Amino acid sequence: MQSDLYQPCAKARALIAVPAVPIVAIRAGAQRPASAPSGGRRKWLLAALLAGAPIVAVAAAAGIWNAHVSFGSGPNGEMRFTGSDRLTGKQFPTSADLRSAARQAAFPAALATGLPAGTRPTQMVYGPSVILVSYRLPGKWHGGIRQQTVIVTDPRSVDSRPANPGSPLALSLCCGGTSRMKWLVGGELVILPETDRMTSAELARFRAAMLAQASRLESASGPR
Amino acid sequence: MIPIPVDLIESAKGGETEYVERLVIAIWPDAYRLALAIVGDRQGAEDVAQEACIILYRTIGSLRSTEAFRSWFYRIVVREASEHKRRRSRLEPVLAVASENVDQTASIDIWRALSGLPDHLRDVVVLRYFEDLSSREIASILRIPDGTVRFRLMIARRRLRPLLGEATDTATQPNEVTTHAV
Repeated sequence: MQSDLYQPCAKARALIAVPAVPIVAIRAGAQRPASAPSGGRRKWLLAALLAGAPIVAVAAAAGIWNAHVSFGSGPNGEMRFTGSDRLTGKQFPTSADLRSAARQAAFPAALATGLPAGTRPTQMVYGPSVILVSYRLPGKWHGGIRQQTVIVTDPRSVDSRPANPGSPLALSLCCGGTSRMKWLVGGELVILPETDRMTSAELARFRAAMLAQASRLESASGPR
Repeated sequence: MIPIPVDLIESAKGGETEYVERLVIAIWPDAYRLALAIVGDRQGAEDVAQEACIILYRTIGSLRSTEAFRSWFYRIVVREASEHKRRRSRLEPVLAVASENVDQTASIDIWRALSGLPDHLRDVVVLRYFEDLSSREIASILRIPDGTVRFRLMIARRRLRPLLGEATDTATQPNEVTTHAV
């Protein structure tokens, strides 16, 4: 029995746009402990983020830095930075570091407030249009750490369309990376990745505190 | 399929990072295309291809025969793709892949047709018609008997015929009989 499937398959195959080899991520992945579960690049990057690994160095070495957040359309979604801003990273940032990042932002960035008492920042990645801070929360989650990443970004840099698969992928932020919660506060968009570990009550308090802070800032600066 | 120099595989087996990475770079396009054809979405394909390359990076030293490299690596890709599909439900239509291609009319039917196949049939079709592998090579990759591969191909073609319409009913090219006959 013969088939003419070769022709359409070959054509379809030839039309596939192959993305650049993520050699830096592959190299880093090859060096992770072999017993670690293989959960795809997003899980690996999240693990790296949690562990305070040099994500900044990884992405910078790949020459794909940017800060244009777009939300993928797939079942897992993803948040991608695909723009042109230069980002900087810092592990265990101090309050002064956080304030400095906010000052350098090209949008009216208001940092996270209202997080549970005892929370401390473990990693920060920032640029003109985005500030990502990973916080270690007090307490445990199924015996493990609790962490919450908070992304504040310029709403103008967010692309609600599906990310262009042909564009260089800088960084997927989290596994199953749809946002658990996102809202506009003043002139910034706050994004909380879904996989993080704040409880609903903590999230509600955090959101209320961010909104209250935004109104205070707005009333202090007058109408924009 | 991009030919991989045998001496590159040999050198990579030696564990030298430079050669391993060259090998990864050389095989990446094939890994991605195969992964995409199996999992059906670009993000998933990138994840699968990357995981497969990480495994290659770690375990190339254990490859016994240089000639078996491609089968060995494709087995990894197929296994990772199956894992990936198990981990998540396939909610993103494969059609989305084709719709992003330049020449939509040429490939859209094949993507749609592939998405309609169950996994066990889709894998053999992809390895056969996308990767141009023989049924024996496919059998080795999927670790199933040669006869099972041929049977699955026959069933898959039967199922694809109405989905692809005219595409599979056109006249067979004479040289295909000897080259690709099952």
